Formats: sequence, C-alpha cells, structure tokens
Amino acid sequence: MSIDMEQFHGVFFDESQEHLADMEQQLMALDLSEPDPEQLNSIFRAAHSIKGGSGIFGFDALTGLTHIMENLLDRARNNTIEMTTEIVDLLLETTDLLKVTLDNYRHQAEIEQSDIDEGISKLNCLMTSLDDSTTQNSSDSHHKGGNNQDDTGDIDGFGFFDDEPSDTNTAQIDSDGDDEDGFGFFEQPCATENELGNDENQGFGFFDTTSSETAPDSVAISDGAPDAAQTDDAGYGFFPENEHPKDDPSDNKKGYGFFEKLPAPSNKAKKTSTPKALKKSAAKSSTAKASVESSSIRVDTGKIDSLVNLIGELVITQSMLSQVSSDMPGEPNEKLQNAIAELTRNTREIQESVMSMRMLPMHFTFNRFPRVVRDLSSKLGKKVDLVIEGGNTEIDKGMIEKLVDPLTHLVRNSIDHGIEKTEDRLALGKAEMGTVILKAEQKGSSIIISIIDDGAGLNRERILAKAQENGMSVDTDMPDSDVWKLIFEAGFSTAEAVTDVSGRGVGMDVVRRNLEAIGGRIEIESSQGEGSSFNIHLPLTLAIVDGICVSVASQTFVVPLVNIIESVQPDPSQMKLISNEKLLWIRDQYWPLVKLHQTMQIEGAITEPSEAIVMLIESSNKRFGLLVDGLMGQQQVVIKSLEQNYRRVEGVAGATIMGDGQVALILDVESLANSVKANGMSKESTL
Amino acid sequence: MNSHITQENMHSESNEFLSFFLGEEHYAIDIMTVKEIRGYETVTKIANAPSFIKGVINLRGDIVPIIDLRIKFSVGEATYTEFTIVIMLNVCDRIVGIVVDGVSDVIKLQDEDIRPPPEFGVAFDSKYLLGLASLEEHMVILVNIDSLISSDELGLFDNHATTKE
Repeated sequence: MSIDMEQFHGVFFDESQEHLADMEQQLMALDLSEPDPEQLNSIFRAAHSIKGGSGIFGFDALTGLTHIMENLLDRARNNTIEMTTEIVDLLLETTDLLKVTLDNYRHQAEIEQSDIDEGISKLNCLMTSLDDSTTQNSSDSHHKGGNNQDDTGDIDGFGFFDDEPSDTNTAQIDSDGDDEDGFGFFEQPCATENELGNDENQGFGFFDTTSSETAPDSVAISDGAPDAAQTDDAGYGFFPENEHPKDDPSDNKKGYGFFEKLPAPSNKAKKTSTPKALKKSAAKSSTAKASVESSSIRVDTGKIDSLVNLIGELVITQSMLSQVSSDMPGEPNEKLQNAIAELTRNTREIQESVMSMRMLPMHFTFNRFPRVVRDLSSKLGKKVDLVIEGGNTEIDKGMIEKLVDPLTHLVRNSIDHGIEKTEDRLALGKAEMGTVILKAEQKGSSIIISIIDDGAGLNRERILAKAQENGMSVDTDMPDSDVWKLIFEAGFSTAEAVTDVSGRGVGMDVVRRNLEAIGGRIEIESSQGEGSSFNIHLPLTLAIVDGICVSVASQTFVVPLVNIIESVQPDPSQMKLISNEKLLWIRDQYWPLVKLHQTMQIEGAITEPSEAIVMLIESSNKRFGLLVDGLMGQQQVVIKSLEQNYRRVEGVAGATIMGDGQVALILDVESLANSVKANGMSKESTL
Repeated sequence: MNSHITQENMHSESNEFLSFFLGEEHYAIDIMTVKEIRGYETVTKIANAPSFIKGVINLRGDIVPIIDLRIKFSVGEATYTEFTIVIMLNVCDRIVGIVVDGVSDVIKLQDEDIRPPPEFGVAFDSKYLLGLASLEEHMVILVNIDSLISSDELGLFDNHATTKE
C-alpha cells in the first residue's frame, strides 16, 4: 500500500513541478496593464491543482500556501483586484517557496515551517492591503447611486457565480426593500441554480430552488420577508416563497407564471447572461487544455530506453537475417530478400520514431531564463531584454537536463560581464536596453545553441594579463580564438570584483566540462564593444554517435568522427624516433603515436606504422596519431553504457553493438590521450 | 551491510539453489539471482581487466561482463566448448554472466541442511560462502554470489558505484 502511495507521490511531484514552471512562466508573461483572463485562469488552475494534490497526500505546508495563493489569484481573475508588479513579485516568490517545499517533500527533507508561515503571512498582508483598496475602488467604479450595502451585494453576487454563496448577503437584501434589492434577489437564486448545474430554463423557477435547497439556511430570508413585504408593494414576490417551500416542478410552473408580471426577469436575463458567458468561455478553454493534455502521456524514461534497446536489437536481428539470406541460393531467396528489404525499412522507421520519443523541444530549458534574466537584471540594475529563438528545436531529453547549468552560467555571465550598465550604454550610443539572445538551431547532425549579447565583448588585454598573472604561457600575438579559450581554464576570472553573481572563476571550466560530458563543445566569438556570442555545438542525441569503425587484430573499435582529422598510411620517411618512441611528422607537426593494440592489450595486431593506418586525432587540448590495423567504414552507432553492468574503462567511452551482434568499444579520445601521457609516451606539454 | 541483509533474506525466504560444476567441484547459488542460462559466445575483450573477466557480450542490448569462475577460483580448466555454460545473474541491480562447466540441478535446502564451512584450511574466502551442504555423496558449496560479485576483489564495479548502491 505504501509503495502504491509512493507511485502517486512521484506523479504528483512531477505534475506539480510542471504546474509551478507553468505558473512562473505565465506570471512572467502577464501583461499587467491588460491581464489576459485566460492566463489568470491558467495560473489559478495550476495553483488549484497543486492545492488539490497536496491536500490528498497530506502535504499540509503546500496546501496552506497554495490555498492563500489561490484566494489571491481567484480575486485577480475575477477582476476584484488589479494585478500589479508587487503582486506578481510576491507570487513569483511564492512559487519559489513552493518549489523548495515540493523538493523537500520529494526528498523527504525537513519542511521549513517558518518559511511557509512567512510566505502565508506575506500573502495575507497583501490580501488585506488589497482589501482596503478594493473596497475603495469598487465603491468608485460600481457605485450606481445605491448605498454601501448595494455594493456589497453587487460584489458578492458577482463572487457568487464562482461558487461562493453568502447567506449574510441574502439576508441583507431581504431586509432592504427597494427595487434594486429586489433585482439583487433575483440574481442570487440564479447563481444558486448555476451552481447546482440546473438547466437554464429552470432559472425561472429559482425561487423554488432557493427555498427548498437552502431551506435550513434561509430562515433569515423567511423571517425577513414579511418585513420586506410590509414596506414594498412588490411584496408578492416573497409570498410564494413561503407558500411553496416544497413545491414540485408542476407547481413551479405556476410560480413562474406568477412572477412573469415582475419587471425583473428581463433584468435578470441580462445579468445572468454575463456570468454564463464567462463560465462558458472558461469551460471552453479548459476543454482545450484537456485535449492538449490528453494528446501526451507521461512515460518513464527507463521504459523508452528499454524500447530503444529492443529496437536496436531488432535492427541487429534484421541485419543478421539479411546476411543469412544473401548466402542462400535459389528462388525462395528472392522472396525472402524482398521480405527482408521490407523489414529493413520498417525497422528503420520504428527506430527513428522511437528515437524521436526521447526528443523534447528546447522550450523546456529556455523557459526558465526569462525569470533568471528578470531577477538578475533587477539585482544588477541593468536593463536587459531576453530574446528566445528556436525554442521548438528538439533535443535529447538526457541532454536537456544537463544543459541547464551551463546555459544558466553563460546567461548570467552575459548579463553580469557582457551587458554594460545603463549609463555606460547610453554613453556609448547604444540602446538603453541590453539584449541577450538565446537561440537554438539544428545544423546538419548537430544542434547549435547560442547565447548572444550586445554588451562590451571580451576584453583581450585583460584576459591575456590575467593569464600571465596565473602563470599560463601566453603569447601576445595569439589569435583571438585562442585568447577566448583561456577563459575556460580553471580558476580564471576577469571580473574586476567578485560579486555574488559571478567572478569566482569556478564557472567557465565547469561549463566546458559539463558540455563535453554530453559530447558538446563551445566556441566564442567576440568583438570589443559590440558584444559576444557563445556557441555550443551539441550532437543531435546522446544515444547515437557518428564514428569510424576501425579494426585491431580481431577486435573492432569505434572512433567518434568529431575527433578525427584524417587517416593516413604513413610513409616510413615520416616516422621519426625520440628515445625509441616513434613520432609521426605530418602537416608540419610532430604527432605522438598511440598504439591502440598496446593500450587495449590486443595480440596479433600490426605494429609497424607504415604498414598500418594512423588516424590523426584531435581532442580538446591534445593531438595525436592513433595506430590501428585498418578502417572498416563510417557508421552511426548507438551508445550503450559499459558502466551499467561493469565499470568505467580507461580510454573507453562506452560500447555499441555491431551488425553481427558483437560488442565494439567506443574510444574516448580524451582519456586515451591521458593514459598515453601517463605512460610517458607523449611529449605533449601538459595544459 | 547490504550483503549482510541479503544473506539473512536467503536464509529465511529462499531455500532453492541452482547447482553447477566447476571442474569436479559442486557449487550452488541462490536461484533467485539467476536470470537465464546461455551457451558461451564470443566476447569482446576489455583492456586492463583481470584474467577472469573474459570481456563483455551483448545480451539483448545490454552490455554484460562475463566472469570465468573457473579462473577466479582456480578450479577446473578454462576451456570453451559448445557445452560451456554461462549463467546470467541479476545481482545488485546489474547483470553479469558467470562461466561454469555445467549446470546440474535445482536443489531445495532447509536451513538445517546448511553447515557452516570450517573456519580455516579452506582456500575459498568464507565471506563469499553461505555454507556447505551434503547432497547424497556430494558436498555442495553454497556461494554468496551477491557479495562475491560486488566484492572489490573482483573489481567488477567502480568503488564509488558500489558505495552508491
């Protein structure tokens, strides 16, 4: 049983997280001058869903907080309060608090009740202050010459349509005798009818509904009625109510005829139509939302991974089949081959569509950035406009999560270091508002994500000076691109002062490392005074790598294509010796040689470079030649984890399954170079 | 800690064992850890691995390491024929294969059938032993496969990975 609950918890946490993200986004997008009621509704619904879910599971801290939030939002969407920046700020703050609380519940950590209480009291304070001003406002805007009581009636009547019956209100109106109150009286039972979901025609029978449905509560009404009757000649309106407390529908018809004489119905019809229409539009939008929801389902990534695995197996089986069939003689073979060709096409399509299941639009990452930019720019007192482009570009889910940190860091950097202060910008003749562009696009088999700002650009002199200060070997004639690479070194910061935003120099090297971990690389373009652009190149998916298969003795290895410069069969004259280790002289450069058979301990491989193949490999900071027996061709391979059942192996990034069902190892050129360096075979300087 | 718990579980809940041969010796492991039994197939060698790790194979899309228990325990001869058996195990959330000479039977044992191993004079490290049992004329060595597979000695898991689990 408890396990079952855990399952639901997971779903609740996931959903709430989405709701919160959604809420934050909607709040950010809210146009304060003219709030879109649909947006307000959607924010309200998000809060409401979290409240409901947390209530069921007994996450009281969440329930308490969202309840107040919901109240506030409810009034916002009913236009009883006006959304202001102050409210939005507080709501954003509350979503942050909710996020933290949600995480705490998820990880079964201690709930900071004091924070919750503070959050609640802040919201309450705001509500109270709004209450005061609202009363003021409403008497200005709604007042139609009636007294204060009228106003309350009016507002409450309005609120009534959103499921808040109020007895006091009814009583008030009863005791009052003038025409307007009579009108108010009609309006309310209508609402009750709405609430009860009766159909529209019966609206005329509302007196009956009121009296029978609210009978226990309506003592006040009945009591008040005779008084009213005495002062009002339209008093007959009240008598039927007393006479037919338990009328059946046929009597109701009679009642209806009775009331027809009243001038009120026309009034009432007009009045009811508004809330009805509102209700309808709300209902429509919620069905629209529902249909969006039903078009997607939440699936455990583990299930998709196993599906990807199985499809991979299917592809292998299919290629085995075609191998077998090609060996078969005779006429049945032709039919078999046709069938296999069909199978090949189908499996390829299945593979593609299964792969695409792992893909998510970049929106999922990008959507958090308006908030980051908003917070940061207000903190730093800069004016920054964030432009997001290409949010629909799809990327592997595994990567999307790992992109968040590097991107956040880069965006913060752009705002903190890149964009100048407003007065500086104006002095430079730039627009007051700085722009940061976050862009994703697909180019061939890679995704390029760019963070572009129109700020000051990187400062070449300062980077060089800093590098010298840090004892790095730099050359003042270095090309710009090499200078920019320096900022990726650990401990490197050009910030003049350490702020709480950046400047500790722990950032860029981590950014680069994180990106390399998902098979990406980063390039910088920058020009002084005009801004800089950080371009991240990522593979389309984590699960597939383009590689060249190479053979060493009987074993096959896959070398990622991105690392390969070229493959050569060296001439003996190009081989040089240094303390008995061979170096390759090619492209005006000496290349250390890594003998794959040696590092991978394979016997029976070709040891003489001039009889074998040397692949020129470039990793992030090293270049070397890889000695292999032969090339087997280029192929896209599906990366499988070696660590899942075994451990990490030096020089190996993972494994893959070849067409014959055999396992081939995918080389990790970074660590391959390191292992060689450790063996003292390389004379490469350590960077 | 972890292996201790599993050990207790084995005693109390499971008393069925899969018995197999390594050379002349009769071993048995908890049947609940057995995923499937396969023939030996070509493995892909892995650099810097100890000799008893033959390499990895593709088990329906999973890359699975293969351990030759005969080499590890230095019993029998590590020959590979069409009759060589690989037992696929589900241990510590992982899949590993062990190479044995042959699978014999599923045996049922009560707790009282299991004798503790002698405290000394046994080459086999007693922490990988659940105990010894007599089956007709044979002695059956009950291996605590969980603790064996996850041991540092086997070097199958990264240390940090083991602590994580």
